[in-house]
Amino acid sequence: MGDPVDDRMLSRVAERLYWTARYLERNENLACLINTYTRFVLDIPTTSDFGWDNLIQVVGGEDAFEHRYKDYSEKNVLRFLITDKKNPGAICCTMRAARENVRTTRDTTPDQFWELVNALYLYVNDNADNAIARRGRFEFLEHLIAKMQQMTGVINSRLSREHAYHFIHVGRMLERSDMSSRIIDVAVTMALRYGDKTLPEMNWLWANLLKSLGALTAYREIAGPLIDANGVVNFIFNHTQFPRSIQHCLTEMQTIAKQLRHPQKFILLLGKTQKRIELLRVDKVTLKKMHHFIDQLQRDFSQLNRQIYKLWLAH
Amino acid sequence: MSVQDNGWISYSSQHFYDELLTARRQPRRIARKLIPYLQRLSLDDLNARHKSAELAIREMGISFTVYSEAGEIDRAWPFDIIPRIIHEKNWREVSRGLVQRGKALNAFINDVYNQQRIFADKIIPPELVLKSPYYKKECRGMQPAYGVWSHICGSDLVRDHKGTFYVLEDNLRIPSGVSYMLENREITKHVFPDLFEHYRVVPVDDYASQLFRMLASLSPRQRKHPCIVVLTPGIYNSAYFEHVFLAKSMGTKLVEGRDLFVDTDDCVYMRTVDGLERIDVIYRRVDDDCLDPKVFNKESLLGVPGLIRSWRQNKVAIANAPGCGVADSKAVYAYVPDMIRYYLKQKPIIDNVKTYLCSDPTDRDYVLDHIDQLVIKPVYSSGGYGITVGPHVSRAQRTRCAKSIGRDPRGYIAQPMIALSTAPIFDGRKVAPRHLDLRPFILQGKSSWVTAGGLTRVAMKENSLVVNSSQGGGSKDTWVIR
Repeated sequence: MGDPVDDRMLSRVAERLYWTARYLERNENLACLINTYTRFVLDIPTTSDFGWDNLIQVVGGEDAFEHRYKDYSEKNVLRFLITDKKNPGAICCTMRAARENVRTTRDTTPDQFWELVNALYLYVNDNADNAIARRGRFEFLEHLIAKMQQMTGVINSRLSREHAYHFIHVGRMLERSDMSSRIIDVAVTMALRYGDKTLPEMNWLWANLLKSLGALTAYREIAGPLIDANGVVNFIFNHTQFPRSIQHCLTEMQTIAKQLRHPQKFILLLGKTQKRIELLRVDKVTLKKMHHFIDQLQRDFSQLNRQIYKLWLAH
Repeated sequence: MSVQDNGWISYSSQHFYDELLTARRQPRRIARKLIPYLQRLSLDDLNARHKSAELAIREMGISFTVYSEAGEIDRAWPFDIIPRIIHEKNWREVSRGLVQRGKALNAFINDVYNQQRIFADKIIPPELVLKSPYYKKECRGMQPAYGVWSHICGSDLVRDHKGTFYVLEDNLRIPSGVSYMLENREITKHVFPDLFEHYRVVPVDDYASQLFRMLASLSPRQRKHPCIVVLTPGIYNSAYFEHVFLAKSMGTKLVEGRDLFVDTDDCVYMRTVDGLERIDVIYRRVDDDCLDPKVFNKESLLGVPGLIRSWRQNKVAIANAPGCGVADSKAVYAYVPDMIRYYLKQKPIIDNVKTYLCSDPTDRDYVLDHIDQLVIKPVYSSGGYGITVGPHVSRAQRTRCAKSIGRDPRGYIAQPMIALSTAPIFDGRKVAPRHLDLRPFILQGKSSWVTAGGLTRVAMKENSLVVNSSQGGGSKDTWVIR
């Protein structure tokens, strides 16, 4: 008992931990985003036509959504994102998948992690319907976010820096990069769509983007009180010191990869993406170009995912 | 004083032996502190503890899976808050009896797959053993370490109207329940922390380290840290919770068949993020038939092709050994006292329940004449399935049962109704007596070890004798006290 037996990890277990981290990170981001977006909508005049379809676009779910829903009403969109059992990306489904994964890897993570995931799964099951109407939405989302942060806390303070941690951390960092880029993309698309006619809202748009990433305070400390598109995008892309910036996530993945077997190809890919982001002159590109740039980034992220599989998960 | 009764005043176990209260509703010596303590609690207090236990179980995710027509359901573990108490003095004797039984059963399995002396000496009819579906000819000639085949055994004990312990059956293949035994203690600590001040309860949480030590002693390679894994059929198995629990508490890997493979050097390897690693000991929770599709069930995806080859080459140890189920039938059970006398030259310490073998013409006639007084059980089944309780069923059901026996006499045994002991449970409304049994776990490797107490299973319905959790039974924490 308690002997330092070895630090071997089953590829299958690594895969499940990796996906658990991705699901949880995605849920946390999505919860923050829905939360911010709802507050954002409350602030704009009812006459303007800020659509809820923007949220579906973040998760790339337009096809699946339109297949089953008649219109992009607030309720439909929230159902799709939170309670729709037929949408594998809905919070209720990813939470279920995360629970299933943790249940099958309980021997590798702290007990509290399982207890938290299990309790949150039960909570989502019992309460997700309340989040559809605005009245119960904030309470639900904020509970979700708080619990997810608690899980992160347990992982950070109770899990040895060995393989279980490595794969959880890589999963989380990759998902976070991916979600950050998607959230920026939505802001870019919204700016493209509404830029000229609803100008007063544009300032809030970027402030709200920062808020949904929990980055408002951090941004102000660096860039001062004024918020503008270029500054925000640059901050989320490149401000390495901020733990939700994409560069930070990529650097973290690199540090972890160095402790895994034969990481060269993965590190090479990471470097390519990092360089691509560094070289981008945010102030020089049009919104349209920015949208294409983010598309490319997303392709980079899927390639990183494939490489993780090739090197460590699929033996 | 509370005016509420909560069931204590009308408590009556009729002619059964109640383990905590006498027929005059006085606490037995072992329960002298427990019963007054419980009697002082109001209905609200009892309910609060009941709820708190339920919540703890839900949050700790203690569950088991039940299969029904509606698909599999993950159910919360059924638990009764009132602990069952056994004095250590009684337990020591029972525990010696279990070790004795385990030794004889292992000697028997080893004999069946090797010299077969017991058949030559006409102690047991060979066809009773060799025709068992659990007899695996592929295991002939194997000599596992220390001559032990069944390393983890769970024997079911019952107590009769006098409180005497009997063995009802021995589960030698892949007995489950030990994790619930351990979790039950955790829940009781959570629900009644103050009760432990009044009693010296023998701890149970040493099980995982004892299991690890026993498994390590089986390693074919002499290494400081043999590589031990728990092999599970996966998340859809009813005992999956336990597989995770055991792997986690031993600090070993929990693997599925697809994580393992047998290489051309006949060794078993697991696929890890750092490449392949050789495995020394497999604690398997997969049935024999699914272990190796090259040897047993070819359709099975749960096992590892080539595993039996590796085991036969002594490149890997498997616990429990394949084929050990040959001693796990209700017909072989009837001969365990004879085995003890034959192999160990000892007198059995714990008795069997009287068992009539329908394969024997004299016994069969007796059974058919007394079917309304007997419990008829299929020889090869577990989980309480297929049992006919003569006195409790209709005439038509008894006739159907008699026909089944006529068709396949070797497939059935019969036992007298045992007046199973009772203990108080709290069902959310009142305290009442319910029947119970006990499953201790016996570990055998280089040496033998028995759990302090075991898993108590309790029928939650009035007058019911069915304690199986798959059929609505509950469980209790079991205290062996000093």
